Amino acid sequence: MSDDANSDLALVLVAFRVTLGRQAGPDDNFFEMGGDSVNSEEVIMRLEEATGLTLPGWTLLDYPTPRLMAGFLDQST
Amino acid sequence: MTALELLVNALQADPRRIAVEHRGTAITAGEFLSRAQGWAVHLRTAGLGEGTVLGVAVSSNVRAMELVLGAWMCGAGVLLVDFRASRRTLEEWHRRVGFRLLAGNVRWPDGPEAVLLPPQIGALETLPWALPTNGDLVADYFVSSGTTGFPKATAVTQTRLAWFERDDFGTLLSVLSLAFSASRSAWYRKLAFGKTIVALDLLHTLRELDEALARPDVEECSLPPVLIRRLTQLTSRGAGPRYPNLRRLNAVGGPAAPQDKRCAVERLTPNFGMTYSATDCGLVSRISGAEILERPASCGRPVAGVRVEIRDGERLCGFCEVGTITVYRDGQGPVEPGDLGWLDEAGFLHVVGRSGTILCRHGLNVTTAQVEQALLACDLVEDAVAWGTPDRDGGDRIHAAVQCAADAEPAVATFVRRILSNQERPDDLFFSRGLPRGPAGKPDRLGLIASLSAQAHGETTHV
Repeated sequence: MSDDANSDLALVLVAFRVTLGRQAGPDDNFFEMGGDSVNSEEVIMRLEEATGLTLPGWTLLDYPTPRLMAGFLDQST
Repeated sequence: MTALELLVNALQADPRRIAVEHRGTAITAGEFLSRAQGWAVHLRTAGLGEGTVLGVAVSSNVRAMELVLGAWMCGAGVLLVDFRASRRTLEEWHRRVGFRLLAGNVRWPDGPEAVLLPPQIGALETLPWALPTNGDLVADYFVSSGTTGFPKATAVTQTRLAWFERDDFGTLLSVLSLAFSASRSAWYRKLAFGKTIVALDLLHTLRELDEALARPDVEECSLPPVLIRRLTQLTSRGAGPRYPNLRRLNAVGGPAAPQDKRCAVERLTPNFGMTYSATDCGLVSRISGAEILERPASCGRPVAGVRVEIRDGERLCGFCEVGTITVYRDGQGPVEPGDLGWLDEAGFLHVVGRSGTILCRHGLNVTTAQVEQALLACDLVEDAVAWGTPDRDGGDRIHAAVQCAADAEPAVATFVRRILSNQERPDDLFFSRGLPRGPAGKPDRLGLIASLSAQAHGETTHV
């Protein structure tokens, strides 16, 4: 994994932990961890603030794990 | 005519028109039909056939409707469940209806065979077999909200589903999961009448919803009360309604608070309305626009063909007297939706709460709906659920869970302590960033109560 990708993964893991209140692994599914539409919006907001990107609300639907989301962020920057 | 024939004919009538728009991509009627045909071949090869049931638990409404049509082309019925449903929920549905296949990501040993969803299905111009025409085949299972127990399912045949008489509105903005029966019915209606559906993803930001509602082509949308409330709290753009092109905005999946209904008419659109209906008796009443401004707490007058009585056992209650709502439709009945309410002298119905939700507190009666309404009077509260448990003195202890931002909790706690009356103030208050919800956006009351009941000992805590 590149440095940027690792950095994105760390960002996503923090966003998951702060929003869900517990530590997620790189391949843990947001919804299986109890995530829902309200806190998905929080995750999106945190990632937007950290990356400067504008992320669509469906991002977590398509990239529900930290690893997948980090890959998406890496491609988007 | 069956619902399948109705929808296929409509899609074939003008294959180049836009049937669905999703993430800015237009899907023509012809392409949508071709995708459904591709799914039909895939599902049939996997064993779906006449009289069988496809379970659908997918996160994409577009994919869900393609699967519904594909299943119908196999002569099968469908039962849609929210994609976040637990394995236990899916197991229970499988036990009740017997899925032949399950489209989704949840699998379990000895369960129905999972249909693996390939990233793309090859579109098929022509279905290799004739469309089933048996109108008695089960097409769909309409599922209740499950506020009083595991949801109930009503099987609806192909013929019964093809009931659409008219569609008065243009493009639909679809926001809610197709696992919600009313959301699915709206898709059927739009597809049957050749209208366009703009499909928002089930996860979307408030900004995306606001922008979509403001589109000049969007004329109709249904939203749960919590989203109505959030939209009314957006900063005004100036004079006039926020969504001037919207011809119908419905609150569904539960009653919106009176102040939110009034704000919706004043700020969002004068064409805001809500309906009161129940699984067992269908649509009962409707209220909209100016009527809401006059009677924000009412759910409207009974619709044509429906008569409502308020009863206390065998006795017929008078005006403004609370009792059991009893519904007669086209001379048939009575049916009790399970709610308490009263009729005013002008014939407007007011729903007070579910039967069995009257709590006794310090010798006075209060309903869970009253407690919830009192909590919603605080603007910082996005949503609220209240319930009671027996206390040691023969009365009830009141518990409530509120959804609000984390930094709003102190102000909400202060509001509860200082503003609410003794009767309405919950003994236990739980805070949550997001209450668990069903596909209609309605709080999953039973699930919430089950998870919180053990913690209720007079402390404020987080969900």
